[in-house]
Amino acid sequence: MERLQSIPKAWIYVILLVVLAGPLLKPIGIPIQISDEVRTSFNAIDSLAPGSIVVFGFDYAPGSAAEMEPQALAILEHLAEKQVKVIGISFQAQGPQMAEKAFANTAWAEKEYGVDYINLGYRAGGQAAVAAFASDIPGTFSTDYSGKPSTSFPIMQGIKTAADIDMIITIAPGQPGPEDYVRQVYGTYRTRIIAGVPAVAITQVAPYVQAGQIEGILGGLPGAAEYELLVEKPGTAVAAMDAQSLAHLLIIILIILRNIPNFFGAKQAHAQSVSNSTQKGRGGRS
Amino acid sequence: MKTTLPVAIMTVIALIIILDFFVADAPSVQWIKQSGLVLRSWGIVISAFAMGLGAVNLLRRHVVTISRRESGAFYSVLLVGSMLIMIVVGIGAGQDSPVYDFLFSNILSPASATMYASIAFYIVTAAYRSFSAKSLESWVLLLTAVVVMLGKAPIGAAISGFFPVAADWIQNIPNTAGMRAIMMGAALGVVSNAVKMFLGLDRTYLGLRD
Repeated sequence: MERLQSIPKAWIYVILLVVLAGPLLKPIGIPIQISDEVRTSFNAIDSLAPGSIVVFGFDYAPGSAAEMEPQALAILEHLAEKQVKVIGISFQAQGPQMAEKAFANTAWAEKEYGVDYINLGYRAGGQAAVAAFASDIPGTFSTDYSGKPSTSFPIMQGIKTAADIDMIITIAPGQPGPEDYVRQVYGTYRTRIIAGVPAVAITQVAPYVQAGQIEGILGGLPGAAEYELLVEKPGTAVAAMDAQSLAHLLIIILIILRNIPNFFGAKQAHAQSVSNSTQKGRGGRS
Repeated sequence: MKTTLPVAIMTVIALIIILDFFVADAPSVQWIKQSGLVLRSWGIVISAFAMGLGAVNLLRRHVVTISRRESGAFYSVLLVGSMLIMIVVGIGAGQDSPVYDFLFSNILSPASATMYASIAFYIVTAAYRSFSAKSLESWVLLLTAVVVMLGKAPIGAAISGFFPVAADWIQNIPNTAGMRAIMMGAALGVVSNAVKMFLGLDRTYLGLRD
């Protein structure tokens, strides 16, 4: 029984590797249900009229791209289909490169840069930069990623503050993230916000969603997979869902194995204490 | 004077930023709006300098490690070398150059992704070792974790429709209520700390103990 509490680390690593690699190589096809929050996000983006201006915050880095990039790609495909205009920004130093990659790997590659979409690059300053962006977009992002004046592009004509934007979509695993957009943009301009966050950050953002300040959220890889299904373009997130499901199951099995001795140990201890008290009771009477 | 002036500057700047958030767009208060705009731009410039300062500090620290041949000097050589290459290529050829793109896509991205992915292995072993239920509270925690883990992956719904519903309930009701309480507590703490700073009662940000 005690062996269950001391499975060597190396064994666990190997089992996890097999559990993750197996379904990626040969998918099982576990059905994916669409959650309410992802459907709400989809409907919000779907309600955008052609020509609407959407600011897309590429606030993630290569480290978290495995979880965040599928969300960005799925939403970008939807935005391309809706024929809106996208202004890419980033408050994360490596975000502009992620934006370049995302635009190149979606339907946006066939659209015209500067007219249909633009990558305005990165600005340092965290929440202060978000506040500056909200009140003065061309001033805060005075050039695009390649260094050309942002106001020289047709897409930027008439864009001054966050009031001129129809929606902000931020894909952010950390700070600055959706909370900063709520505080600095929604608080003053009431701009609609959709957020893509890692699965572990859903709880952090949930109060803003319940308050209606964030219109919809996508949580981690499952959120991306659900969105891919809604836009009918299954990609890497859908492919990874089987692996994630089995990994969750493995963790649960390991936790159960770890606790079997505790469970039976507690039962034995309880039985022992009952028998002791019975014996004491008999001793008292005799 | 040594402390009064910085406190006064900080208070005036903070009040302008706070007022800017609340005042309307009326012409009579445009000076507040404009001042807020300028101050936020300064904030961005200061942040950019802070990043540069951080880079210089990192470089200095690791150059010392290399020159003294301390343990781990090899990793410092790697760090300094990588940093210098990215700086030279980024400034020299530009961020949108093919060389920079190659380094970003083929070295930085896979290396970062590998670091992030390896966390999964630590999480699994950590969960196995730490989730040892020995009291009623820990059993409750354990069962909640199992329900949420199953409910947030497609396999949960495949096993039973109960898991996604229960996971959503746990997330939206008790979990969010707790998070909201933490956030409100933190917000009140920030407000009270700000008031203390405005009044000069908290001067720790100036490097003073009281």
